[in-house]
Amino acid sequence: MADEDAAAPAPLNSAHLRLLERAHRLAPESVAGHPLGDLAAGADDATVAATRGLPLATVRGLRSFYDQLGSGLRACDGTACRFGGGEALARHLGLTDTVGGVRCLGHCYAAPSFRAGDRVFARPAGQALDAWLADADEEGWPRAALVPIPRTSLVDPAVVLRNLLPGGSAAGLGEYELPDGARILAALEATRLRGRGGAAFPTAAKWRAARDTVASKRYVVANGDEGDPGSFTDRLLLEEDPHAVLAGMLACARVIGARHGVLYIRAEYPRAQARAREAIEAARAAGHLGRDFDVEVMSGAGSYVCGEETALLRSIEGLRGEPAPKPPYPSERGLFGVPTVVQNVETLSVVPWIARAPADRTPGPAPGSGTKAVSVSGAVARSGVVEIALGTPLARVLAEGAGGPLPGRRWKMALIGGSLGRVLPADRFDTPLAHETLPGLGHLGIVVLDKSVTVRALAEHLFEFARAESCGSCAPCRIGTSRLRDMPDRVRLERLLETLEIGSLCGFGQGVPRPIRDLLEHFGDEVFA
Amino acid sequence: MRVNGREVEARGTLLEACRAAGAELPAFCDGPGLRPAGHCRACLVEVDGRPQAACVTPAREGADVRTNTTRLRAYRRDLGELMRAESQPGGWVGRTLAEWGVDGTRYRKPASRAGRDASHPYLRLDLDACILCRRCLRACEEIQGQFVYAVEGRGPSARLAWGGTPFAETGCVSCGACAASCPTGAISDADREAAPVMTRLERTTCGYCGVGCQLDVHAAGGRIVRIEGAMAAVNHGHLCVKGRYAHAHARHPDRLTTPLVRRGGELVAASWEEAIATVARELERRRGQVAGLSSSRCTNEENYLFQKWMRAGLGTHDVDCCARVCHAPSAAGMRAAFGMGAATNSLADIERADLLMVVGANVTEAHPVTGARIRQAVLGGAGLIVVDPRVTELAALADVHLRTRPGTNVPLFNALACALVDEGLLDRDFIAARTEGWEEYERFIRGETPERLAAVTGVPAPQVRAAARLYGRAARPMMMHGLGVTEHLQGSEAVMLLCNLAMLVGAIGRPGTGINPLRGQNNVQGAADMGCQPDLLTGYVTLDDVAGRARFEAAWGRPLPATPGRILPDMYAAARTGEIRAMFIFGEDVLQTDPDSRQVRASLEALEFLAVQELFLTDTARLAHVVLPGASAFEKDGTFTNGERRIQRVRKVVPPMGGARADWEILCALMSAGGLPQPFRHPDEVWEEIARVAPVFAGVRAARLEGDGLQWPVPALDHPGTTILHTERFPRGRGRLARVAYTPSPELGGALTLMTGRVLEHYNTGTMTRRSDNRKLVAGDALEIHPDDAAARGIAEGEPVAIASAHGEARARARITTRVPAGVVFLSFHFPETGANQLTGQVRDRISGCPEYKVTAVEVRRAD
Repeated sequence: MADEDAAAPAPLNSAHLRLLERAHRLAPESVAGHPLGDLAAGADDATVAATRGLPLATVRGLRSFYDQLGSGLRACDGTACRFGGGEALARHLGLTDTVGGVRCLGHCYAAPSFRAGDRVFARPAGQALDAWLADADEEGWPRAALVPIPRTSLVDPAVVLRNLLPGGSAAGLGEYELPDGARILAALEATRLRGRGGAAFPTAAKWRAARDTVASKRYVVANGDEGDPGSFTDRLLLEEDPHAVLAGMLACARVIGARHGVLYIRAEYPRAQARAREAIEAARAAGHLGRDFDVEVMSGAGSYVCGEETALLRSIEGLRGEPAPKPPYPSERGLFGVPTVVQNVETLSVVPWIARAPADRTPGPAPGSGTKAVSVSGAVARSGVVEIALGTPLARVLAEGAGGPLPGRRWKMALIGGSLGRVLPADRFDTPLAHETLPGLGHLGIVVLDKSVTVRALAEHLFEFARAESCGSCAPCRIGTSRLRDMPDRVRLERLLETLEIGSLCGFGQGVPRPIRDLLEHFGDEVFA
Repeated sequence: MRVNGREVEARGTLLEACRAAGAELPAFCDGPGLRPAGHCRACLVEVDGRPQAACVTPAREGADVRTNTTRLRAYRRDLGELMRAESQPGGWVGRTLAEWGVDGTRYRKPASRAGRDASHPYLRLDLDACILCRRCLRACEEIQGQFVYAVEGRGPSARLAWGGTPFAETGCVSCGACAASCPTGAISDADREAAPVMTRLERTTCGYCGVGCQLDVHAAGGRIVRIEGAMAAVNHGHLCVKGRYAHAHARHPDRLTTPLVRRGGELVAASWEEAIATVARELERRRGQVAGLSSSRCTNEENYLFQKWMRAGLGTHDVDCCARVCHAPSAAGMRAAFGMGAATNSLADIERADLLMVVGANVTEAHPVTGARIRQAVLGGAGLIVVDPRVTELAALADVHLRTRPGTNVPLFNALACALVDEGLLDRDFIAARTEGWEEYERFIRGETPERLAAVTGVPAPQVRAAARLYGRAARPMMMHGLGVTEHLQGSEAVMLLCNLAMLVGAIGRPGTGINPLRGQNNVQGAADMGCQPDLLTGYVTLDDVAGRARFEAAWGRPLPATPGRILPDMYAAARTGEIRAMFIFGEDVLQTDPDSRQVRASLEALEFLAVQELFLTDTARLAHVVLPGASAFEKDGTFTNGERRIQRVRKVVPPMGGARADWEILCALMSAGGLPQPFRHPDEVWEEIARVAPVFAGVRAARLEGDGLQWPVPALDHPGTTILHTERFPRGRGRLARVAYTPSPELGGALTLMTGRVLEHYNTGTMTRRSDNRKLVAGDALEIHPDDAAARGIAEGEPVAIASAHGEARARARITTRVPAGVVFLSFHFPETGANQLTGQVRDRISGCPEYKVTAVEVRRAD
């Protein structure tokens, strides 16, 4: 090992990481046997400290960072659930706090929802809350089966949902015939694919950087930490088309020369983890994984910030999922200090389609075009995943993709891209959904809110999310997010928003002000009402 | 790029560029030796109008940086208000917030974190002042390599934590790096609470181990009030619990403050005149039957004077120092292999090596700052092989830990060499060009297979081969060894075998490689360098070097005998037979440190006259006829030479306590009284004479030793010193590949095998550390014993035990641990009441005479 690593530069990341590596020989071939996994499996701090050779303080620091360790009952406090009966559900479950302790289970189309260990329960659309809860089994759990995620496409042919619409069928990994790395990269460059996770970074440039950084090993990491409340596109892909994601990882491995991949899936998506593991087992059994390239599933443990790529890598390493300053970028120094591509699940799922196709089937030459699967929920007639061409006005997405308003409801506003995203008032729904016209769209989860929701209620929901999910690494975000709620007027609030935006270390604290500013712009003092 | 309109070079981070431009930024979470982290966000600047944290943003050509715009001032004030809403920082942060006009009224304050802790003798913690900049945590991890601190909780509930116990019960090694880096006063040194504001500051060299850390010592009113690590080549600002905190001995009431002379069986206070005259007279009367033991704790200048006094003044080469009982085998072994017996490389090579091999050394406890450096190198990716019967801290971190049976170094090192040879992991060019005896050696070593020798060493052959592959394949393998190699029957030969390993793979004479004995005492290197050895003059000039000897005779104006004197164990023997009738022991408590204490006592009691120069009335001093009160390292000028041959300045910080005197002054007075007056008015002047007689020091002058000193050889005034030895050739020409067969120690085969050694918190006989609050950290010696051995003897944790050998008996408390293998016990020797060296015997290294402290047959029983 030492001779191989000799050429590698000293890593910039925490010495803790090296201790972990030394202590349990974690790196580089497997994330199995991991202190975070131990904690998730129910081990106590002292045992983990002893068996992993870690200081007790480190283990306690690790546990206290994540909020989905353990198997307690948790009501969803995502935006769709919060304004779709979530408080009534929490009362019914006997959860005193209105915050049930999980911010979005990705069942926004069937709100409200809750989680009990690895089981998720969601109210089928059209059923009354009381009726859903009343029809319970002998243990008291609702009998209603989970409904499949509704999906449709406004583009034809669909790209992201190509295998998931009527008539399509999800392929096994063996059915993807991928060209060599150079041709894959050329295809990505020709189509100018940009990341679908929110940052819209050119995919080819990221992969090229990872390939060209001198190192003895490299990793592919699929980011399945879909944390934006109101977003469930990645869950759909992971549960129903995991082989497309694995094929994208395999394509990336070919381009950059990686032998190992990690598919990081948030703890709130137990079913997605199970489906992905099954797909990996099937691909291994068929000989498509496990030889030149292998993939492991790693479960998150409950932290929104872990969706940020550097935080996600720390989490895979078994550390607190705190973002690191960039540079260095993961493509230069990522997982265990070696070049790593971190790519969103949706992006990866379209890569094999691009790689195999002639250049005319493009997801779009310019960032404002191409297709994107958006999640729509809230006060609409038909919630679900809708594939759209980027640049489509929100009004058209809601009308054609979601069937307009829920009968009897009048729209007030929409939260787009989750709690760090944007708020549009109903009279601005003609705005095209594109990063250029509306920066900060995130993963494009759209929750439409009707007139029953006050601006103050949405503001407090956003404040609460910011306070609960701040990692605490940098001072402005750690202290400022918990003071947002106290601000009595616009001047004071805007002062604090400015401090958060310019002072925070990562996109979380920098992004918290974005939807709040929209509320101030469009609704003024209603924010304080 | 431009900073506030001023052109600067775009190098490093924006913070560095701003500092270069003279714009100081309040980078609270930035600290020397720490990687930028970007936690506090106070160093925000505007880059082309865009706010960026300066500490984590690379400087960029053409950037226009502003550090003090209206927007930034408003931001800082608001950030400060947020910080004051969370905590009440003091120190630098508190002052800075006040300068920003922060009054702590803008945001709601939560309840106190109630995180005060005063459980540690040296550290005070108060989390209400903490801004979570994590400098403490990062210093603990990135400088010391310990992991005491963590952040617990997330977001607003995040707080600094240390595992939920009183701080004193954590794995803290009390290095103080956290307190040194804390900008708020949340973590502080207990001694600083009482420190006066006005202090005198001196840079000096630590007087504990052979690492040679540079200290910034603050003194006031004739007392030392605090010590900080200096930013120097050796320690980069870091220190250990001894260097930073254990300085109370310097003004301890137990200090000797007046000469003592024996009258009617009692030691009574006497004048300096009387004491000096008595010593001079009594030694002169026994001329030809006098021996001297010099002090590795004292300066080069004093050691030079001491051996000059013995040789020129009293006409004897019967002069030795405590190198005899520690690294004399390293010197002898390396002289045999290379022709020179000092560390081949420098401490800075630790960061250059890609593989570190630590043999028989518990570096994190005995040489803590070097140990921390090794830990950092390993945490940063370097490989690590540890050879030690015990599971030391470094062994727990190693890629391969070769857990030998005590006393089996020779077969283990031969097995390693055999693996290198039969797996072809050799530097054949180096062997051909730089070594001799290869053919005979190859024939010999091929028979020493790891498989055959596993039964002797207890180390499975695959582990030996794995270690050999790591060492043989590394581009820059660096070896460091300690007394676990030397203090054996075959100590010198084992060192030769380590030299073989380095030569086989060409790991010598290059950066990041070499054979590096970790010297134990602050100036044991210097004591030997200065000639406090019976067979070598200053600068390792041999007695059979006629021209060399003539140089000394000319400089000293006296003829010198041509035959070597006695080594220390032979002095004791000669004392018992009456051949030696008087001894002068300078700064050594041999009754505690030297093996077989009963024999040592018998020897000293047989003397007609014993003089001791000391800080305290040690057991040895109690036997003396005259005791001369010397000065601590804080009380005189001079130099120490550390284990990497670096000569560094020692500076007087406070005057000698009471009537004590600087040791060099005492020695000059003794020489004068003996008819050999010395012209020196200050230790600096001694170097003029050393440079004249010893070619390796020809270029050394006191004035050249400012800053980081000089690493010898320094053959000329314009020579910069030598960081790496043997780059082109060995002093003896070709390196010698030694063939050594194993001779088991007669002490092997007992029920239990005893090893002795140090613990972190104490130093050798504890004379200094026991007179400090380190005693609160570790209050007595412990016997480490394996659970099976303890159970077989009905011994429970913490119980008093009696340890018996053929030579004597000792007492300690049992510490039941798997750190030691079954059949092996380990005892520290810091407390006189333990009597560890009652146990050790007469076996010695058959070349250098170094005692075998590491192997004694003992039995252990529960004490009543």
